[in-house]
Amino acid sequence: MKVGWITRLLATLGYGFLLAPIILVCIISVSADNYLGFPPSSLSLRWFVALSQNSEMLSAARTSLLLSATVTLIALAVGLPAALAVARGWAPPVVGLLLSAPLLLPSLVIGLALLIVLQPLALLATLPGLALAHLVVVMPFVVRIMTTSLAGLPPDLDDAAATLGASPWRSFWRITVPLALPGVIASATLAFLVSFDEVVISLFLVGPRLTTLSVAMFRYTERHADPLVAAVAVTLVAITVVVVLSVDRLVGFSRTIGRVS
Amino acid sequence: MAHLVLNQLSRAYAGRPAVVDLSLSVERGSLVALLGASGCGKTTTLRMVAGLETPDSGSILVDGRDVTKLPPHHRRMGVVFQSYALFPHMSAAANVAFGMEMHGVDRTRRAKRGAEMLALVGLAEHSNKKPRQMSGGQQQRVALARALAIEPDVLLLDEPLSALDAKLRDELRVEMRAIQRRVGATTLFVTHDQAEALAMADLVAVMDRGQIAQLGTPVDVFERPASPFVAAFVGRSARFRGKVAGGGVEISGASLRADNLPASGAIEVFVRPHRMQVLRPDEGRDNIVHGRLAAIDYTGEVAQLVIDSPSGRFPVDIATTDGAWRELAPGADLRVGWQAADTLWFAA
Amino acid sequence: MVRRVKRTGWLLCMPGFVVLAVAFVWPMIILARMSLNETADTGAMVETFSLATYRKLAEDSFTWQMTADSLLLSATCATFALLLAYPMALLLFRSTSRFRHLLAIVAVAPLLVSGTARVIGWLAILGDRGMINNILRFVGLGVQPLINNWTGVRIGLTESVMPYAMLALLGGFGRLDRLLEEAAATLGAGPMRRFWRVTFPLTLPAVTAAWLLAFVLTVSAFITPHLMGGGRVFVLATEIFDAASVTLDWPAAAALSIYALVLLMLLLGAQATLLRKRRT
Repeated sequence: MKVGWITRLLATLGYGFLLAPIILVCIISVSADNYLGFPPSSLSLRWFVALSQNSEMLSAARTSLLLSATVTLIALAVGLPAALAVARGWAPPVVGLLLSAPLLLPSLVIGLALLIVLQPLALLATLPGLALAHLVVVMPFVVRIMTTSLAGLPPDLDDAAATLGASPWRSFWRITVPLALPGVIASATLAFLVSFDEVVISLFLVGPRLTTLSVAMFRYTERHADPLVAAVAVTLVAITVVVVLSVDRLVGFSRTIGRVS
Repeated sequence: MAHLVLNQLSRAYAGRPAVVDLSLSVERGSLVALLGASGCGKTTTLRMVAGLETPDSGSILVDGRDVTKLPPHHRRMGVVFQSYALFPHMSAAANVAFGMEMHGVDRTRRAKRGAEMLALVGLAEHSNKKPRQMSGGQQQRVALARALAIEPDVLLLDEPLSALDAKLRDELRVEMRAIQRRVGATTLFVTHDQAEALAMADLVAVMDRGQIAQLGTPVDVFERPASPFVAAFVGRSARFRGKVAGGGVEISGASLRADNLPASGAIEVFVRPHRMQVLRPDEGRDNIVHGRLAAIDYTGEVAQLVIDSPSGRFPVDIATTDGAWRELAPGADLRVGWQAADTLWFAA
Repeated sequence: MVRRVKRTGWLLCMPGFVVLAVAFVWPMIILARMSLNETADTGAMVETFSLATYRKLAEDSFTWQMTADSLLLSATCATFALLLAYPMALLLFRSTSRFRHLLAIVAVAPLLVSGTARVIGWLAILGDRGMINNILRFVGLGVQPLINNWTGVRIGLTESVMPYAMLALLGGFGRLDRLLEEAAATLGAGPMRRFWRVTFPLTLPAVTAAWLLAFVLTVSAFITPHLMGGGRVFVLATEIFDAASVTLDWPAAAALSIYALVLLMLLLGAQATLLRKRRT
């Protein structure tokens, strides 16, 4: 069916509104001004230079990388077995819902609850404390994507392997693991991105000693109205795009994610 | 002793019986078809034989050895699944070699026998293709080659042709039967397609609600159905209800003759549509029913007539070889006749 | 054998349950318990077991004003997000262009950009020296305050939930048969009637789901109201954060959180009942 001009017009409007802030971020990241404005009086890379010299942002970025990598690994270790159990029907489907329950609550509330619990344990502004907090919101994504991905495997394959003489253990390593690999890589990528981007919960749990990049960006924006954060954001987007595209090239990310939504 | 024996197998799902007290013997090298509608328990039966389901009671013997408690990977039964269940990340050759690897066959022999198997099913050229690069028919052949490669004690086929289009199905039917004869595999074959069952099987077991309604040769099952269910399920029929009176069956508007009728009682009569003829005015038959032609469908080899009679609507097939069907038009009053020997009856 | 499978299943889920219990269930219980404590006038927390904190909140008219403001803000933003996102989803549904896939990805891609960065983008558009005010200045209309107030929060929040609304809508459109509009056309329906009589009613469940998702997300959104509101916009989320991190009144923060959760649950419950009624 042909798309009418009204639809086209309204959709263009929607896309414009949705993408405007991101386009603006890209433009002002190369602004020479020291305020947030448009159009920039002239262009320069001064904010990227400033970023490369901002020790606070750089150390926060290091923390975030370490934290997100750790959280991703633990989330996979914890989430994959559960997803396998649900996808195979060894555990009832309600388990999947249960494990994604934290997504139903505002992260602000979860952050506050974790603050109250972790403070007396002296786990505020520590990697273990932050990792535990991130795990709560990252695990649901791993469980969901992996459950769908494992349940989407062609049926009967394990039965077929069994009739051909493969024990359950061999069938798992020879059939299930290779076929699940794309889903694992996709969910690891998403887990990393969700953790790296998490800000609200972290906001309650960081401190002067240890902060994440997303929190540092938030705090900076509270105090300064200049394009430094735009430079951070553009750098992150560039890295994200490269990572997502290469993962997509590798395993068909959009196909795996597409099956979930 | 028969090669494969199923002994009073039962299996229920959440209290609903799927297979009830089913017993069956399959001679070495023969092919038995389990024929039935979906939900009749035929696939459950096959899965129990393969070890993929555990029977609630009963036993399964292969060569007199009880395998009921054996897990599937120790049974050495070649299974062709309805979905084929080919491993999508492996080439055709790797799929075929997988079972041999699991059974400890060394690499050189695997390659040699794998190539033989693919050649047997006519896919020697395609050994390096992945399943998704192959057509449905090719995938089906790989599944068969994979099942045969482990030199199975018993070959189990679960609706192996149902995913193919009609023409290919007919071709593969002939081919599969030839391969099965050549390797001499004792085979249990599950299908809902009666033409497939009649054409391929040495014996057909017609299943109904978890039990075998009739076990017999294809000719037996079609020509001498053991029950109204079998008569109705296998092939089409004209059906009349009546009462035995005066040595014949009284139906509305006619009296029918049949062999070996009881002295009295209510009776249901079945006649195969191709056993009936439209009679010329001077022609006679043992049984004659008057009716009006409601519709006529030309299907190629036969023309299918629908006839309204006082005892109900029924189908009649007439051959199109002589062109006589062209003179029939809806609304015409006809005499339809058949011989007493072609009258199947069951006490109702 | 069946029992063994069951046990394996639970065993595999165990690590997940442990994480859930330690880092979610237990903190939520402690949070609920905290809301029953009191804060003395000195600001010190008093361990007790009373509803005093809730009473204090209920007696404060600011709580009710803020609740009304929050819900109105969420309803407004969810509605605008839907109005903007629906034509986009419709375009993606009808389009046969080879860029369709790309356009769909672009529509949800903002999720990969940090919320703070998107706020920066809005500040550059809406700020006093931003794009819009520069245009207004140019045509002689003078500077309009578009940030650090409700307007800015509404705009930023609408944009921030649009990708989620898109996801929900695309899910709904995905289940719709593209042939239906063609069938309606062969039956003589013009473009307008095709849309209002066939497509729109069939996507209504997805619209409801998307609106609700957007609503819930905006009620709990914190970053955008905080940064775009410039400390002058008070909603449930900013109040909870301020109580927890600025005034350090944990009982009040906890009580407000529980209040917000109950509110959300009531709304979701009401919506579920409404939907069930419509279906029967």
